[in-house]
Order: sequence, then structure tokens, then C-alpha cells
Amino acid sequence: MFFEFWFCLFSTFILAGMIGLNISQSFNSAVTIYILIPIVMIPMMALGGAMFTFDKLNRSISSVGKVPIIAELMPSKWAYEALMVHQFKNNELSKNFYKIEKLESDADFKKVYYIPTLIEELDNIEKTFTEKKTDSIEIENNSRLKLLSNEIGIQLRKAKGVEFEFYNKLNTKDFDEVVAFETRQYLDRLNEYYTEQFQSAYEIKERNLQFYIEKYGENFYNQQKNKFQNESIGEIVKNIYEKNKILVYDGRIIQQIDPVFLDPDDTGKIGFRSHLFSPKKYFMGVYYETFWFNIVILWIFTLLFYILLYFELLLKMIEGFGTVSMFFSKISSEKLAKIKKSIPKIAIPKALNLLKKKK
Amino acid sequence: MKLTANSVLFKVIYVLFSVLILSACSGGGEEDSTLEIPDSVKNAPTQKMKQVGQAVIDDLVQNVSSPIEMAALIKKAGVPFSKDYLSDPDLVDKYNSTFDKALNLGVYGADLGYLNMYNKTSLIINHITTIKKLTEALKIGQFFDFSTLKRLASNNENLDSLMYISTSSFNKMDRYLRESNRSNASTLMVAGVWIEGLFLATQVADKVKTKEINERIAEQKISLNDLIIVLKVYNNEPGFGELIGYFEEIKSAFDPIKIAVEMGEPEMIENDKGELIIKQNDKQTVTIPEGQMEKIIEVTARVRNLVIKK
Repeated sequence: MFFEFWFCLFSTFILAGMIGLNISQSFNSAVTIYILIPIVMIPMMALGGAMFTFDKLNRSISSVGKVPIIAELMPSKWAYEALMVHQFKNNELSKNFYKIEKLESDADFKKVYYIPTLIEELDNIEKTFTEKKTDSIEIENNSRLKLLSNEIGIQLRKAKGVEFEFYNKLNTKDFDEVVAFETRQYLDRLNEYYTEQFQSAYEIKERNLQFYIEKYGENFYNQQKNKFQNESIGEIVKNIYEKNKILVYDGRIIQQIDPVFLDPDDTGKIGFRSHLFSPKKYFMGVYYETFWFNIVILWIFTLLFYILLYFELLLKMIEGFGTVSMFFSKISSEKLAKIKKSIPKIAIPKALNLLKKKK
Repeated sequence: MKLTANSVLFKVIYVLFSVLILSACSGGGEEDSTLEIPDSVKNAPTQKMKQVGQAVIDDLVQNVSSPIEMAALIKKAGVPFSKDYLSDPDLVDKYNSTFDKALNLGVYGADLGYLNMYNKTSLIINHITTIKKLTEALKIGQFFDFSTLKRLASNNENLDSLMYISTSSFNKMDRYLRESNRSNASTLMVAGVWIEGLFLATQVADKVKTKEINERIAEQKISLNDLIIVLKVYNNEPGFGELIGYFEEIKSAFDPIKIAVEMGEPEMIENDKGELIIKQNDKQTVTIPEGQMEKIIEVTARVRNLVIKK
């Protein structure tokens, strides 16, 4: 544990140093720099994910079910997520229980929120069978069928053993009473599947717990809990205060509770974007452990800033802005060179000279 | 050798010193291989538990005196509110197994009924947070949502609607637990509610001797018998044997109490609202021998403190 904590903070420290060096190189007066520091720091603090959850951001800059792009640019978010997930998942006590708790959480979500939502959508479509087919009803049915088709497609992959032959008929052309009936049957079978999953996961968890308590006594177990687990971190990474446990958006169902037990979406090929506190990150077909993935991202940032520093790119960009405004005010290039020479590069030595003279 | 900033000795000492400091910063991270769970435990086949029928649980809930009724009785007797009777919400960290969690969920539920009756909103918040924590751990959090609690709070004066809301929520929860083969949890919850209700009543009876409260306590003899029968179904599950033992102790304290019911003729009378209702003219005579109440009070307090792990 110690090494991981140290390494994450060390990587953040190096990255911060790089950013600082870049700023120091690009601006020529100390005043500018210490006014700039809050401008750089405050977005990192606010968008790091610790001050408020991302769903409180305006929809136009936030993404549903994933970390908003603007927050992906903040190194604080990567470091924070890495440490939170690592501490929750991999501490000495929790690492024995994490896998089974994950199965339990997944099965519970499917039973309590996911399948009832799908059944509700199915009910809504069936209600329109007796009504006249207006355009608005067509559009609504279309979106509902898209939702059912997307989600059932994913479940056919994940819930192995529960079959559904009418999957190809989940569109407005082929959908009729028979398909509706079959879909309902499938959802009932899916419910049974997840009930069984939940029961077995729950029993195994209880059994493991009983094993500890019988072997070492309850006091020892409580001591271990106090030593290795953190209640507040558990509350944050499981998002227990979230009111909307499930969201339907753009033809997909999005799980809001227990993000630390939810695997990221693997439908995109390259995209590694996931929700906050995802236990694994998906990239190019492989799952990576969140902690090390985030650390690698921090070092990629560091490399990027190193390149910016080495080639003085930020400095050149800012000087470039200077020439553009000069260009528009129609000053000739000789005058421009003279003005450039007269601007003192570093203000401090001049101040020191003044002090020396006074002495 | 002089210890200047450039000398080799300085550099060596510097490096050694920093290594010393960094290694001292290492936390107590012992590789505790004793925390591993052997595969034999992880992979053992799961067994199906016997399930108690729905009607039995419904019957049990009807018979076990609702904490709300008990609290209303206590309040009517003019007994002032006392925080000492209640189970401390901070003890929740001691409840690790499902057995402890379900049992104490019942205990906190009974406390909530008591608090609600006396309108102690500030203490209610603490209890509700604890109850929420326990229900999340038992994976029945969806039945304790904000709207149900709000209904409970706003219907403070109306005893009937309070009882209706709480029993219907409990029945929904029990049905859900039955589906996942966990009806032992609902039985434990009822047991928790019962023991806490009895504890509150006995503590009050200790201070204020009224006939109604004593009779109500004596009537618990009947509910206790039902409860023990249902608990015995789960005799083989961990923790149940101990609990049944405790309840048998309380039962033996109740044995000397005699309840005689004389069935009378039913008659039709007019109630306050002007409606005609049937009134059962049963006469109930409760005989409590001298000193028996003290024994009941003492054994209840002992068992309850064992249950909440005080």
C-alpha cells in the first residue's frame, strides 16, 4: 500500500513540477506568474471529482455515464480516482471480498432496477398497440425498441445460458404481440438468472464472513475493519447518496450506483473513457487495473509537458500572440524589434540592482 | 575531514539520512497471509434454506405487538421520553453478519416507532441514517426510500395510517426476501422489533406501575410462543440456536403468568363516527404472580443487551 500511495503522489508531484516549469518559462514577469497560478489550480481542484460529482455540471459540457472531457484533462482527477479505487479494492481486508461483492452488486442492480425498467418500457410499447399510430407514438416506440434491442444485445453476451430467439425482431417493422410476449418471457428468465446469481453470491459472502469470525473472533474482525477499511471512501466510491440509481439516456441504460463495482463500457473500440471510480479501464480490447492505467496517463501528461518545455512551445505561442496584435496595429518590423529589445526579460535582477545601489 | 557542502562525506551522510527517513515513513503494512480465505470455503456448494410460508410470517407480524402500539400506550400512560431506553446508533459497527444486521434492524425500527411517537426529529435523523446503512448492507435499501419515510413522518398523529404504512412496507420487503430465499432475515427483523418493544415496555413498567402496560407485557407470552416456533425452523443456521436459547429463558419467566379469556356475546354498537361496528365482549383476566414482573424486566434487559451487543 505504501509504495502505491507514494508513487501516485510522486507522479502527481513530477507532473505539477513540469506544469510549473512550463509556466515559468513562458512568462517573463513574476507578477504574471503568481496571478496565473490560481487560474491553473482552481479548475484542477473543482473538476478533480472530489468537490462535486460530475452529474452536477451543465449537460452541455458533461457526458452522461462517463467522466466529462474537460475533467479528463485534469491530472487531479486521474490521481484521485487511482487512489480511491486502489484503497477501496486492494486493501488487505477488502481484497478477499471484492470479487464476490461485485457479483452481488451487479446481480442486485439488475434485479431491482435494470430489469424492472426494461419491463416498464415493454409495457409502454404494448399499451400503444390498441391506440392509433400517430407520428409521435411511432418515434417513442422507435426509441423504446432501440433501448430494448441495445440492452438485450448486451445481456445476451453477458448472461450466458439465457436465450432469446426473437432478438432480430426488436424493431418497429417486425415488432408485434408475439414478439412482445416472447420478450417478456425472456426478461422473466433473465430475472431468474440474476436471482440465482445474487443468491449464490450472497451466500458465499456470508460464508466467507462466518469463516473469519469463527476462526479469529468478532473482535479481531472489527479490528481489521478499523485498520484497513475506510467508511467514507466506501460511501463515496459506491455513490450511496445518489438519488437517481438508474438513468435511461440515448438508447442505453446507465447505472449510477456502485460505480466501483461496475465494469466500464466495452462497446467502443479505442475509447478508454469510463465513469468515475471504474475498477478497470478498457483500452483496445484489454482491461487494465485502474490504478496503474491512471499512473501511466499521468506520466504521458508529464512527457507531453516535457516536450512542450524542451521545444519552448508555450513560450513561442505566447510570443506569437504578441506579434499578431502588433501586426494588426500596423507597426513596422524594425520598430517591433526595437520594442522587443527594450522590454526587460527578467524583472527581478533589476530590483536587486536597485537594492544593491541603495546599500 | 571538513564537513563542507561539497565533500563526499556530506553527500554520503545526506543520502543515508534520506533513506532512513523514507524507510521510517513506511506504514504498518505487514503481509498478513492469515487473511486469506481457503478455497474449500470459497467453493463449497450452496445449500437451500427451508422457507417459512407467507401466511406464517403475516400471522406473526399480526400477533407481534407493533412498536407503534406499544409506544402509543407508553405515551398515553404519561411516561416522559427517555433517551436511555434506546439502542445506540453507534453500535452499528459491531454488527457484521447478516444475522446481527437483520436482528438489529428490527431493534432500530422499534426505536424509530418510539421516537416518532414523541416527535423527537433530531434523534430520528441519526436512527434513520443507521437504518439506511443496515438496509443497504442487507441489499433491501430500495424499500426504505425517502417517500415512505416522509409518509411516516407526516402521518404522525394518525396511529392507524402509521401502522398501515409500516406493515405494508414490511410485507413488501418480506415478499422480496422470500424470492431470494432469505426469509430468515424477515423473521429476525420481527424478533428484533419484538424484543426491543418488550424492553421499552418493561423499562417503563419498572418506573410507572399501570395496569394496561402490565397486561400488555403479559400478553406478549402468546407472541413469544409463536416467535419461538418460527425461529426453530432455522435452528441449523448460525446464530439462531443462541437466540432461541435466550428467548426460551424469557419464556420460562413468562410461564407463571395466566391469561384467561372468557368469550362473550358480540354486539352491534355505534362508534364515535356514528358507524355501526361489531364489538367483541371478551373478558380477559391476566394473573401476574407477585415478583414475577421484576423477573421479566430483569431477563428482558439482559437478553436485549446481549442482542444489541452493548
